[in-house]
Amino acid sequence: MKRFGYSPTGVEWAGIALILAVFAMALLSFLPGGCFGMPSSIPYLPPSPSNFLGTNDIGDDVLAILLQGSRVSLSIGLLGATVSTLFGTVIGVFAGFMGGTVDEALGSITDFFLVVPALPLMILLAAYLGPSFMNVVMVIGLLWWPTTARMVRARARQIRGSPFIEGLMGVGARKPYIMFRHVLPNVWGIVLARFVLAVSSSILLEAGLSFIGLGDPQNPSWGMMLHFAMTRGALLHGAWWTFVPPGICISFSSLGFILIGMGMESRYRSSTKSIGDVS
Amino acid sequence: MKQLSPKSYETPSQRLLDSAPLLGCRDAVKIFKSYLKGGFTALAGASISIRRGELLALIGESGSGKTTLAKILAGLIQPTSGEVFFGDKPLAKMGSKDLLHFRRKVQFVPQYPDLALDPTWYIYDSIAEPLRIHKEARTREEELEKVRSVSSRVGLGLDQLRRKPRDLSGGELQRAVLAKAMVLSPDVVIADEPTSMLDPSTQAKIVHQLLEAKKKAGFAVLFVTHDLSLAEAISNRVCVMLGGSIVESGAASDVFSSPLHPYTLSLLSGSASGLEMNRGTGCPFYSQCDARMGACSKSSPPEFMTGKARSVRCWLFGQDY
Amino acid sequence: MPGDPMIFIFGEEVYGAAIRNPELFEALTAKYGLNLPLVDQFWIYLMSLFRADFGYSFSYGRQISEIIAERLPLTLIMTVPSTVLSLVAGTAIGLTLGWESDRLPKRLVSAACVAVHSFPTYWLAMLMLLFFSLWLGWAPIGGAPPAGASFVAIVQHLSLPLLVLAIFNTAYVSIIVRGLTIEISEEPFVIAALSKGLGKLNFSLRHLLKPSLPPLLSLFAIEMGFAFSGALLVEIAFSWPGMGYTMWQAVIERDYPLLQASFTMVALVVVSANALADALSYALDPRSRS
Repeated sequence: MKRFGYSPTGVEWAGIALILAVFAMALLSFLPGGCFGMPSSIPYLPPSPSNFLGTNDIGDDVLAILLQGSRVSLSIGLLGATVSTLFGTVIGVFAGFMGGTVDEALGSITDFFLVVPALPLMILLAAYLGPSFMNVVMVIGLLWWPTTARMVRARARQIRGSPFIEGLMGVGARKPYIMFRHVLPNVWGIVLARFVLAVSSSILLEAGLSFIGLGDPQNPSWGMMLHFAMTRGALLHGAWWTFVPPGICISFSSLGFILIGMGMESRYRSSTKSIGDVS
Repeated sequence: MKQLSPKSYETPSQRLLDSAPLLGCRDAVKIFKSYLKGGFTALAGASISIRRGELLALIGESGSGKTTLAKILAGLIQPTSGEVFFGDKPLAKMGSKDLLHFRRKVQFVPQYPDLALDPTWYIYDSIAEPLRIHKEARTREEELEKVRSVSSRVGLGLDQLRRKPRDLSGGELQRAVLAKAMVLSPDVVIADEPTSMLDPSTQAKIVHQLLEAKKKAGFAVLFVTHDLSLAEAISNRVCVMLGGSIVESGAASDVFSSPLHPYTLSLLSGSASGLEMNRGTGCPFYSQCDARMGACSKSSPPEFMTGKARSVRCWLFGQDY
Repeated sequence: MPGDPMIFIFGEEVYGAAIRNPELFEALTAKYGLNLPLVDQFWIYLMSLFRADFGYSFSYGRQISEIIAERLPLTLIMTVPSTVLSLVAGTAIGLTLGWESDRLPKRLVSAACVAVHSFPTYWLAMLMLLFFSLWLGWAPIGGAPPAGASFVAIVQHLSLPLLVLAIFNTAYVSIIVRGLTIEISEEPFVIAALSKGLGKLNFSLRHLLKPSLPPLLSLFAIEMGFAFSGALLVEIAFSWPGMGYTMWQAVIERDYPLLQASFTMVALVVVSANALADALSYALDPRSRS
């Protein structure tokens, strides 16, 4: 880790631990189905040695579904974060570097998406697009980018004012070349931090969308488990094992990424305070 | 600083005066717009020309406009009005091919070495970059050779080339910046106070490297500085700036030994403070000039030629010589 | 995206019926003015928005504006008190946590706040329901009290949703206020005043609150917006018939007109809250004017 210049603080280690746990779950899910408990035909069995987390309303083993769900929630989280970070970075670099009318135009678009409440908009879009894996990823990716764009833009502007950029233009380098080969490597710090935070938000957002019923039924995530628990009356049956574990998984995986992301962000802030003094 | 004898770097003034101007500008004006204070006139009509192989010193205090003029000549800033020409072609009328040629042949060395190079790039790549942009090296070996030769000319070793800017000292960084400016074999190197951010001993070394390289490669240098003794020691010609105008210019030996403009006089005697200069109508030195006249406050004087390649911008010299 | 945009105007059920019956299709098209030029249609749409005429919801068989008029207050009744509560409690907690923040118990509590904030709200809701309704039987299992119910009944039904929202938002506000407090306590004037030996309580109230008031106030207004959209999922968990519950039902029934209308209302409320925040910070703190 030290070779990459990454030395996590104690808090971040906690986050890393949580994430490793989640990845472990995802890996475990590849094992054949019967490893963790046979589906019995008896619904709502409380946890027992044969079904560690009991069974759900149709008699499936909860632990098995939980492990499957880890794959889905994690991949949607990572993919959604990738899309939104990519989008936000591109827009941020363009707006920060080009300045002028481009910046203003992109800024207005960014402001629009910042002001409109994200979750309700996602619900609307997801309802139109239909429940599917890729649609959820797209919806999250296309609506979560504004804050990233803002922060990347601020950094890009700072870089734009640096003497070396001026010198590069004086040597005859073209703008796209400068943006890609020089501005991008210099915003990398903030982009990485935002990506990690975006994963955390994406996991929560996906869970929220699934909870409403807009997730992909073919790929049940933890959020879908909560949805089924709600709508199929697990609550009334007092079958807490059907919804407490998925909720814990959602919380802890999101928490893990947030802890790491916050650590990265505060470290990035303190490092750019010293570099950013262009007198 | 007095160790540097002008004689070892000077080309005979006769030869200089007869060669055609390489880079220059005519009546360049630069007004920076600011919503808070209204317009700020950094340059109020400056005309200058640099001849092949000469070392022209641009001296003045902070705020005199010398950095702005330097950047305009380097093509980094567009003048609000006036013309910049390279060879005999004005920059504004150049096509992209000519512009690219201009950018190859005129290089700028900025004042602050620490942010003059991309912090995420290796020094070797930063120096090689102009070669790659202009596709001047066809193979890796050719590129390596050119970077090596220019680095050794400025006293930069392989060890530094392998590192990133944060690992280098101020002096080493400035050498790298110099190397980057020279790698394309330019005709003009515009150096904006390249030594003011360095300690005195490093300053001397850097100036020495620059002059050695200039001797070998034969490029012209526009040296912007506020260090008068340095300017006197190394330059062939000098221009004095105040409040956005060039108030006096001529051969270094002439200007330093017998200054004509009242401001130059006060500058050389160490009693000048350009802080109260006048930026409105009239001569910028009006408020502090002992020899001021009525005409000085009403309109700013034009340039009067007092000899071949010797000019003063002062009403005192308004009578025919 | 589904092929025919008319689905979104009629709603899936009606569209399904209309496809099979050409006469019905004609009649609906005429009624909705879909055969008019586009500009006219847009104008009619704008005008109808002004009159708060959102159209017709087939799944409920009523005018949408009626539905919204019924449901919006229910959401407000849940979000406004909980927001006020969380702002007060959160500020107090945040101030305490931010002042001398490196004490161990304070750091633990701060970490707990971050943890609580990463729980899905609706999951917290389900936990509460499990605990307080099913096991302890203290509160009803969700739903709104019938019209004209007693005050006690209203409080009973309201208590759990309010509690969930309050806990969640308090954690959020605490984190933010703590951050602000830490920033301010590192300012030079604070250290200077401390060295003068002012009493701690007196000191914190005066010196910390005053400069942090403008950002706090705008935080309050933004928080209203957040709480409002955050409450949507909680409503679903509690079967509390507010805007969130409405959106959920609309999604299930594919009642697109209702979905669009409720989204518009929610967006309007949040946007107004943000605008209010902007106006407040602009008026109160000349420094923030850029």
